[in-house]
Amino acid sequence: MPSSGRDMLDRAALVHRWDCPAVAEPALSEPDVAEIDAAAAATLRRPYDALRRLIGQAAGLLVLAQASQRREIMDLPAIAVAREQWREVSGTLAELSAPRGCERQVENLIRAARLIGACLDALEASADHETADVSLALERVAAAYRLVQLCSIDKLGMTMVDFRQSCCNCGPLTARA
Amino acid sequence: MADYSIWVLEYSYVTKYHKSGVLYGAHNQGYVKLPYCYALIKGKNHVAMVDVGYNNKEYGKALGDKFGVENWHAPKEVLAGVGLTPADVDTVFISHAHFDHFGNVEDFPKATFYIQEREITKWVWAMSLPDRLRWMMVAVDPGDIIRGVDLARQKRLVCIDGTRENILPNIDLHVAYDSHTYGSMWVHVRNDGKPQSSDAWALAGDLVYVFENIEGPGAVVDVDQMYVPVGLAVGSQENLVLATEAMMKSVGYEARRVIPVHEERLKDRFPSRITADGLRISEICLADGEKSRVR
Repeated sequence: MPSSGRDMLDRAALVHRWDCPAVAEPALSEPDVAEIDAAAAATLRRPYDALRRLIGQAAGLLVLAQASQRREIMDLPAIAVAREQWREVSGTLAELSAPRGCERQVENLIRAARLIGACLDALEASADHETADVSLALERVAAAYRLVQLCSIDKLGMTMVDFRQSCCNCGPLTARA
Repeated sequence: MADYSIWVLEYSYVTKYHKSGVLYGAHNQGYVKLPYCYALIKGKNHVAMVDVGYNNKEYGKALGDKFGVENWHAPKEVLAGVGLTPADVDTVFISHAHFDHFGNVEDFPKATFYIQEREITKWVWAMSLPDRLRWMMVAVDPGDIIRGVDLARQKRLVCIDGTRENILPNIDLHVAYDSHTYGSMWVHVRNDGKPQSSDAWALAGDLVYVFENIEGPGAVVDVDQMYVPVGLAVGSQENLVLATEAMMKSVGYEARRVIPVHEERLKDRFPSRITADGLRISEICLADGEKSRVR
């Protein structure tokens, strides 16, 4: 990897790579939800969250590419990481059997994954140009966001922004008692 | 001589927010009112803001129903309290990328936005981590970042790396890495135009929530006061304290000149009024010739 991209991420003061053994072992427990929701949660929550985060990664990379107009963005290891995670979630979705009543959500997640892949394609293709034009990639990631947003199920913790523990907004429910 | 007027404009609030969220270690000490505000700076032929609030269309119902956030009003209504419109705003400094600071960019059609590059780069990194490290990616909406892409495409989003002096005349941007967020930014207004200003203001973003973050109780270490960091940070409390020191140094260690926008008691230190919408306007300072909007 050219040093310019590495320098840029060094400024981000990385502690753990995404695949560092210290963080790579899955260990999440599923939320306690009603039985009828459990199937949807077990099936949808992880790909939903993976896509939500891929959208965030892709959008952040697009901001950096467009705002900086620096070709070193294309050298960022984060692009390869996003691509690898995209392959993983696409594989998960391809093998996924939709729980009854969740067919539409699964369909939307699959379409969103395709759009994110196309967004990454467009981002990588922009490396061939002297100046970054992210219009096409933006269009695709925005469409992916809308599809994933349609699959949100608040009570299962499937939300596009995580309000829990967030700053300056979340008086907890107990605060209202 | 003062070049700029500064107002803190409330646009919503939570009436009961746990105190430990705003003050490190304040467990089981009850609740405080937490106003949601942005700051407006006017002068030298510019109208600038520090942050733009959240997108009520996207989150309003969730925040109202689940967390008791009340009385949200749009920038058009809020800025009217100081005789301005969102279209008058030419510059926005985004203190950090949390949804309640960076979520309402579409309401400012003519503004150029400034954000720290690291706020984006490290967000990209955090979003690549496994679920159980999700705490490091809370409160940022990918949708806001997408809107940031569109701003960048329009050449209205500028990523900066570190300190930037005179981003507007006599206004400087400073960064506090790995503090409240990965690239939190504070805004230094030198109102007398001098490099070593004796009339400076520091607009703290979320690096300081309340007065006690600067003038906290120090009896435990036998001093009158000491810095006590905010309760929520993805970075370190150490970096928050060091950022507080940097802000205090920039204003000659005059605590009232570091402005915490989530502080309900600004009204005790600065002239203020409640608007017809039930929201507070606090008048931090007035430029020469500018009329008061609170009297």
